[in-house]
Parts: sequence; C-alpha cells; structure tokens
Amino acid sequence: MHSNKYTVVYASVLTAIVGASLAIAVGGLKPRQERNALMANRRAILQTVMEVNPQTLEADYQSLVTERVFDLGGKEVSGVEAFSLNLKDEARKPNAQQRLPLFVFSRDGVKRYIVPMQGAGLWGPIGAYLALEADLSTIYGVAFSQEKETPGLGAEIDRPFFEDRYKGKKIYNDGATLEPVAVLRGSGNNTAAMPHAVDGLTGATITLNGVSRMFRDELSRYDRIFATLRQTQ
Amino acid sequence: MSTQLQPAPTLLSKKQKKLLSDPIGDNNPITIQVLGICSALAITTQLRTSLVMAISVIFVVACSNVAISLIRKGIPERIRMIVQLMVVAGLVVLVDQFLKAFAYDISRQLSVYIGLIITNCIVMGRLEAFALSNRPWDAFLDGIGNGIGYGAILMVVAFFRELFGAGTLFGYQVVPQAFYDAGYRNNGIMLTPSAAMFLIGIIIWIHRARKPKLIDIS
Repeated sequence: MHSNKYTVVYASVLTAIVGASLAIAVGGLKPRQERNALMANRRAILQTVMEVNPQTLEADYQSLVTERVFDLGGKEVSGVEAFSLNLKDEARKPNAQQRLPLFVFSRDGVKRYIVPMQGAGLWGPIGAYLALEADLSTIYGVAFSQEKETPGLGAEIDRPFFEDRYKGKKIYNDGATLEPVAVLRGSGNNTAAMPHAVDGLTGATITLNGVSRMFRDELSRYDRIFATLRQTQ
Repeated sequence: MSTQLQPAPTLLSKKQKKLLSDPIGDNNPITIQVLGICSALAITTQLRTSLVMAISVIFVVACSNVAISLIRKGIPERIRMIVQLMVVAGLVVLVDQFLKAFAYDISRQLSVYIGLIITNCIVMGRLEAFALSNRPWDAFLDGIGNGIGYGAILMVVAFFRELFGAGTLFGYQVVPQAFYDAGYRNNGIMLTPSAAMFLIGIIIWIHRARKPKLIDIS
C-alpha cells in the first residue's frame, strides 16, 4: 500500500503532465481549427446560393460575397469583421450596441442576401443561413445546422429534403410587414398556398418550434436593415 | 487477415501473435465480449466515419495500454482507475483536437462519439485486464489487436449499412442509377441504429455457428 503523501504527489504530477501536454497540443492546433471553422461557415453561406466547388471555395467567396455589418437601426457600420461577431453575444447587448452581419452575394447582376441565424433546438443550439432574393422577402434557399438534435427526428432539419421546403416562401406579407415562415405541426400538411408556412416533421415538434422562433426573433432584428436596403437598392 | 498484420516473425513470439489475433477472432471485443456497442450502433452509417472511429480507437487503446503498462508499478492502488481514466481522457482529447484540425467534416459528423471513446468499455477493460499486469510491448500488441477487432466489426457493419442505406461505399455511388429507375429504393432502416443492432446480431450468430466452442463463454 502506498502512503497518502505518495498518492497525492503522484496524482498532482500526473495531472500537471497531462494538463501541460494537452495545453500545448490544443494551443498549437488552434489556428488550423479556427481556419477550418471559418471555411465551413463560408461554404455554408455559398451553399445556400450556388453549387460549391471545394477547390475554388476560397476564391469564389472572395470574389462573389461581400461581408457587411449593420446596427439595429439599419445603418451600415464599418471597421467590424462580420465573422468576428458572435450572434448570441450581440443579442444580449443593449440595442444601440448590437451589430448584425449580412452577407451579400452578387454574380452577373443577380443579388442575394444571406442572413445568419442562431436559435435553440431541443438538445442544443441550432443555426441557419437564410438566402433571400433581391426583394428581401422571397427565400432563395436555407441551410440549417444542428449539433445535438435527435437523429432521425429533429436532426433531419439539416437534410436537403427539409431545407427545400423553404424555397420560394416569403418572410414579408403584402402589406410589407414581417411575417416570418413558421413550421406547421406534424407532417403531410399541404402548404402550397401558404407563403409563410412550411410542412413540419412528425416527432420533431420542439426542434421545429425552435426553428420557427429563430426565424421570428432573428428576422425581426433585421427588419430595419431590410427596410434601408430596399430603399437604397 | 491476421497474417498481413504481423511484422517479421522474429519480433513476435507465439504468445504475442495470439495477443494480436485473438481479439480479432475468438475473443472479439464486440461480438464475444459485447463491449463498445454504443458507438458501434451510432456511427456505422458510413464507412468513412467508421474508419476514422476505428483508427481513433486503435490509437487510444494502444497508446493508453502502453502508457499504463509503463507506469503500472508506480500507480497507487487506491487511485488506479482515476489514473487510467486520466490517461485515456488525455489521449481522447488529443484525437478530438487533431480531427478538428485535420479532418474537420468528419469530426463534425462524429461529434460527441470521439469524446465518448473515454467511456468505451474496451479501453478501460484492456487497461484493467491486461496493461496493469503486462510489459509495454505486449500491452501495445494487445491494444492494437483489440482496436482492430473493434474496427473490423465497425467496418463490416458500416459496409452493409452504407451499401443498402445510401447505395454508396466510402461516399462513392455503387448502386447504378438504372436500379433506381427500375424501382429500387434505399433502405431507410439501414440508416437507423436498429439496423446496426440486427447486423451485429447476425455477425454474432454466424461467428458462433461456425465456432460452437464460443457459445456460452461470454
């Protein structure tokens, strides 16, 4: 039997060794990981509006997408990196200090506006990139992301078959007031005549309520920005 | 399979060869000891993720076996398990960080399951049963053998799930479009964990049917 002192010293030394080697490894790999995350975000943005070729991803993004940052009132803010903004942190700030990123894609005279969104699903955070047509109301495409939703149920939101349901839907009604797309309960609803609703997924109600809430909350923050953009176009 | 894996015969005694080959066949961690089932059900929808998972587990089992074997005489008996857990956790975090840096997409797909290697019973099981009482080189072979035994089952299960569930292998389309045109459909059940349960069950059945001595030993 080892003495208490030996046990305590042994545990401390081992902790120090393991801790130090992990710290070195994590620190050394961080730049690569951050670059990977950035590229994944850029790819997700581009994927909402075009076929992405991994080889030309970087060049395509640089030449086709402009990153813009606005305040809640719709005024453009300069000197802020769009990707440096953490949407969750921004939402907690006082209104006057909030900064919202918007990605503008333009190719051959066609413009699309891509809005990043963040919300909560059932088990963890969910997110989306929403691509709007030049009228800032019609949805051109959407790409959802989720981390911990139930496989086969809530996790289906990032599958193309679900994302495709948003194509052509509108976030503004005829009176030009915001009416974000809501997800209906259950599946099999016919939404062809409903521009502000998409069919849901049976068994994924809480995740999808989170999706609807995310659309409502995040887009209402962009309302003034859209209004400004519409005037200046 | 085992003949390819062995280095020059002079390196390995007969006993050491058994350390490598046993867990691949007659003492397979999944089909005989029924350990590590959780991840085997969860990540075997695709061959690519299964391969990365298999390599990660082989790395973690082999390295933690060697590490624990090296320090086995100094480990205070009372905190034995905690020490093992710490070594395993350290290695798993390393693997997770490396994947995030060098195989980002796959690490996203494997999400929590890399982290859960820490709780994979195969790893702690080998440390307790083998590494604590054997020399580093033997422990290394034992770790490699068990890792491969786990990985091999993963690959077999993933092969069938990806082929019938998505019509692809390693992401490449193998079921020709003509089949789909003729009315063939991918099997949705293959994408759910229950399919992996059935497949592992079938593997266990075949394995024991061919080697009756394995029946009722676990």
